[in-house]
Amino acid sequence: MSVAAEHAPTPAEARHRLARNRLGLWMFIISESFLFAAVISGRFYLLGSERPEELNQPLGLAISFVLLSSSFTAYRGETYVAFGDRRWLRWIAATMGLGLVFLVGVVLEWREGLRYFPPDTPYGSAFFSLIGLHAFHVLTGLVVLGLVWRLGRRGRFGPADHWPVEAAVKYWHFVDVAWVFIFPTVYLVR
Amino acid sequence: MAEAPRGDRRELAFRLFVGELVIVALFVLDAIEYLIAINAQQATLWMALLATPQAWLIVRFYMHGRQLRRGGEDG
Repeated sequence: MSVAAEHAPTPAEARHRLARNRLGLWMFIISESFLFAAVISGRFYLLGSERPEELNQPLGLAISFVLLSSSFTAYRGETYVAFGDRRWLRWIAATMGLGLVFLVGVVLEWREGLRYFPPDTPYGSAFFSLIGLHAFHVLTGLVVLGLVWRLGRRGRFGPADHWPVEAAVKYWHFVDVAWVFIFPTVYLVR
Repeated sequence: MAEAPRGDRRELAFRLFVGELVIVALFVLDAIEYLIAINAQQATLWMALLATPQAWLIVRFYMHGRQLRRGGEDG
């Protein structure tokens, strides 16, 4: 008997392991949310609810819709893989595409930001820290989704074994939750 | 892909439908938030009031947030 077969987890062990993995990821997500909360608090501490008139609010709204849409496509991808439907790959690819569009939007807003409120101004400091921290998370989310998608194309993951897809998608949703608070903090409050 | 049993297909269709409802709600809340922000003089409280349900919708339905209360088991 091979070592792998000898140590193949029983269904109860597999369920327990999955539950443990999920809790670990939730703890990570909660700790990350404290980081975002700290930077958002810093913005209000430094500036109150002030914001410059030059902010491109329609662009902020547009990339907000893009990121929300990417959560929808990620959810569909995760749902399809849980039911053993290969269409999940298409939805995860769509999620990555939307994530890239979001990052292009961030680059555009940074170009405008550098002109109107450079990083050495109080608002610029808050703006670039918040948007930069978030964009970095989007980038890491894209890397993780890309890895999962590549493995999925090789036939990995099925209804009973798709934890990596679930984890990548959960992380992606977290990035979206962070944006739900960052968008009004940066673009809308006054 | 092998044909899924009818019960599975119904469950899949239901979950996809929930995802569609959530994204529509998110778009509506985001748009309301934006409209209030460009029209109101004091928008900070409104922003907090509208961002919170959006976050809740994502955590509850897309992230399956109930898993946290169930020790990581399916929520």
